Amino acid sequence: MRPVFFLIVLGGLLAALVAVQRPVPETDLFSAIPAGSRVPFAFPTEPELFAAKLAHGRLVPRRAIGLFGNSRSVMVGASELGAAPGRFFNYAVPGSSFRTSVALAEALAQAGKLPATVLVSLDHLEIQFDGNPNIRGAWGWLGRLARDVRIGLRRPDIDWRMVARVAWRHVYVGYHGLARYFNAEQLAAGIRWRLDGRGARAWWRGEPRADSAGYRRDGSRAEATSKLRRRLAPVGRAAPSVLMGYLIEDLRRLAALKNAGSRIIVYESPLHRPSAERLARRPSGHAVIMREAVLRACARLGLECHGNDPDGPLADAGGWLEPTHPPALALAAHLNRLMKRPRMGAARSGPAR
Amino acid sequence: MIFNDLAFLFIFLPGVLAAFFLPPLRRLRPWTLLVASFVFYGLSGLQHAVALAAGIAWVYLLSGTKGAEGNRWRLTVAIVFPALALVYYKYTGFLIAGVLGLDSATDGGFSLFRDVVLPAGISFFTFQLIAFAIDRYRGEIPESPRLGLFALYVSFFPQLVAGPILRYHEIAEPLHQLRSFRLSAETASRAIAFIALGLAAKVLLADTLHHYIVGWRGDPGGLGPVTALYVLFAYSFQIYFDFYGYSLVAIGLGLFFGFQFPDNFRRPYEALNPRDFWRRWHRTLSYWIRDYLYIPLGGNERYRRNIIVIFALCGLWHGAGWTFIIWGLYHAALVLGYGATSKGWDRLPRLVQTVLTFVLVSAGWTLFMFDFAGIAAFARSLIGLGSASSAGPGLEHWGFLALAASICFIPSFEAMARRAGELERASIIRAAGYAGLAVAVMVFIDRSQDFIYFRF
Repeated sequence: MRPVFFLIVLGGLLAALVAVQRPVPETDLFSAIPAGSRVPFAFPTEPELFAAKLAHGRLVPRRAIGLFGNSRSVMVGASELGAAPGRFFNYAVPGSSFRTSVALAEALAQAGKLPATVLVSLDHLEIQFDGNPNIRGAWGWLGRLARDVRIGLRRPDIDWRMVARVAWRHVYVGYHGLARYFNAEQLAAGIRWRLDGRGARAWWRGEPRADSAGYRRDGSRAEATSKLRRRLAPVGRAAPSVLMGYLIEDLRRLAALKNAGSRIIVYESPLHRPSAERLARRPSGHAVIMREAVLRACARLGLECHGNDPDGPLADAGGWLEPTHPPALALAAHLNRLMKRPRMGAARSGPAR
Repeated sequence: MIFNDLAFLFIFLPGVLAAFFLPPLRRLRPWTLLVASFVFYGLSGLQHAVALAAGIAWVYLLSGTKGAEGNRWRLTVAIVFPALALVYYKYTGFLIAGVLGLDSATDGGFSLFRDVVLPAGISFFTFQLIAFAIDRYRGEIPESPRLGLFALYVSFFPQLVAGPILRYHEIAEPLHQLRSFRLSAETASRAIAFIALGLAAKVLLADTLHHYIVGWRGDPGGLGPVTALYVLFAYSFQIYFDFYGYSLVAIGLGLFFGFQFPDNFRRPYEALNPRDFWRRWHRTLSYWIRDYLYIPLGGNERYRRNIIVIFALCGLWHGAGWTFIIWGLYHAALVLGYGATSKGWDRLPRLVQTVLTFVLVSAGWTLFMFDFAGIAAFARSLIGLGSASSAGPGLEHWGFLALAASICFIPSFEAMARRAGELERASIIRAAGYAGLAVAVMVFIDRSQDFIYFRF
């Protein structure tokens, strides 16, 4: 054989592999889920879920309330929040960071579908979870990389090391975004989607059930009851990973979304009481500095931001999955309290009772 | 880093190939490969790369410089450091816990000796270092290479972690001709074919078999006899395709840079007897042991003793544990047993000889799968005394085992890869076949396991 033939055929097959798996962004997977049921999807990863939630948001009427975040907020459904069907959608993407939430909200705003009230979860600053959005599409990826580098070079509070780190993280997620196309189960689902009349069911792993773990019609994800644990050891703090200059920049991007006529509420994700107390007793310097900087930025930008209250009622609620993953009902109650507060343009660091 | 990883296939390998073949960098080719090899190895642990570099520097200082020929003192000192490093990294835990029974003294806290992370492939590169030192002592390498080339000989990434175990003279010529090497379309085609077939053997065959039996391996006493038999033979094919796949990829990668590595396998499961098996399985290790251990121990003059010694050491080379030593002694018994009964054995029909050898070798792999308690439980399952609580293999399992067996016994991957170098023969069809195989590998690569021989 001639190596050039091999390379041409290999290139063609790889392109086909990607093309077969493209349909997720075009399909509204959530509206097809029966009310009261849960469905596990055939894709477990961030880019596909991001695409699926964005596709849903674009295809349905604008919601009244949207919740953005990751696994620490994905469990909240309309029923926990007490919202009427169709008023609420959970846009949280497990495994993603604050930057992904901002990117998803921006994409919805571009489509004119940003919910009237946007609740955004910011991971507790002691557990420091950060990373660039992992979203499909090479051009979008390049655009985000170029934008972050450009911003980094312009802003005085972002030095070259931060720019290098954010650029490296873009390379990292770009590679992992590419790697996610190489998954037999996802490929099989893509082929099924094409063969079975292009319905959402092709992306379901199994039939909808009322008691299994999986996604609900409102974008929230329910865990199997067996996953609940009774005793939870306090969580330790993570190494600093949030790039402060870029976090402030992301807050600025969120604040700009108020122009779309939405109310934006940012809240620091709560912790289980033993963990919250442990970390509050001996807070780390970088978390304290970052929290102050975030609240200052929120005040300047007119964003409603709420720090975590270690003594709040949420910390004592039962049913925590893990010290950083609150129970859905208690978190929903917390979010309702935040929404009931009068709309304001200043940041709050105090408890949300 | 490992071969069955998208980062290797999409980033590392294209990057190294581009740097190697870039005309302005032609003069730096040995350095390109050396740096690439250390990056390849260093990504799995910087301290291990430092240990590798220290071993290279030590052996070169004592054996690579003038005066090493015939100097027994220098040979001894040269060998001692890498051998001690091997003992420290690989055998300390076993010596403390398995031999001296002192493990309880360090229970609960960190131990400098117990909590050692084994550098991948240490047994392989240590044997290459020792082979070089001995060959220099014997005068078989009259002209020592420069340090950079010697370092590349030991650390060359295609064979660094799991062989083939190379002798310096086998690659001295291409090593010195790196700057003038030109890759022909024929060689590139063969390299691609070797890599695609090797990865397919690993990812599509070995890893699928692993996926099938991993649950049963966790419950060796809960199997029915048929399931146990299935596990026995499936593991036999798994370990073969795992190691064989690695060797094929190594050969293919070597070809890209002008190296023709020796075949490490010659259809080992078609061996007619246990002695024949060791001429076909992991050949570069067998020849290393023959040349640097068996013959110096007296060779055939003290046949029985030497066979027992070298097979026990061969077992110990594979892993730090009594099961591995017993595995080595088991093979010593097979070889000696064959020697004693060869007149009768050789008269058996060839098919019977092959089947008998295959079954005996496969039975030996149980010592790789389980600890002693597991082996006892598995043996009970084999003879029908297990609890048989696990569901047995279905049609899919048996079908795949039959497929693996067919691929093992019928086609020759080496011949297929060599034919791929014929440019005009069914070029597009062949290219499509290999490209399809490569994509199939990539689709399943996310569930791929580490190569079994990385542990050795």
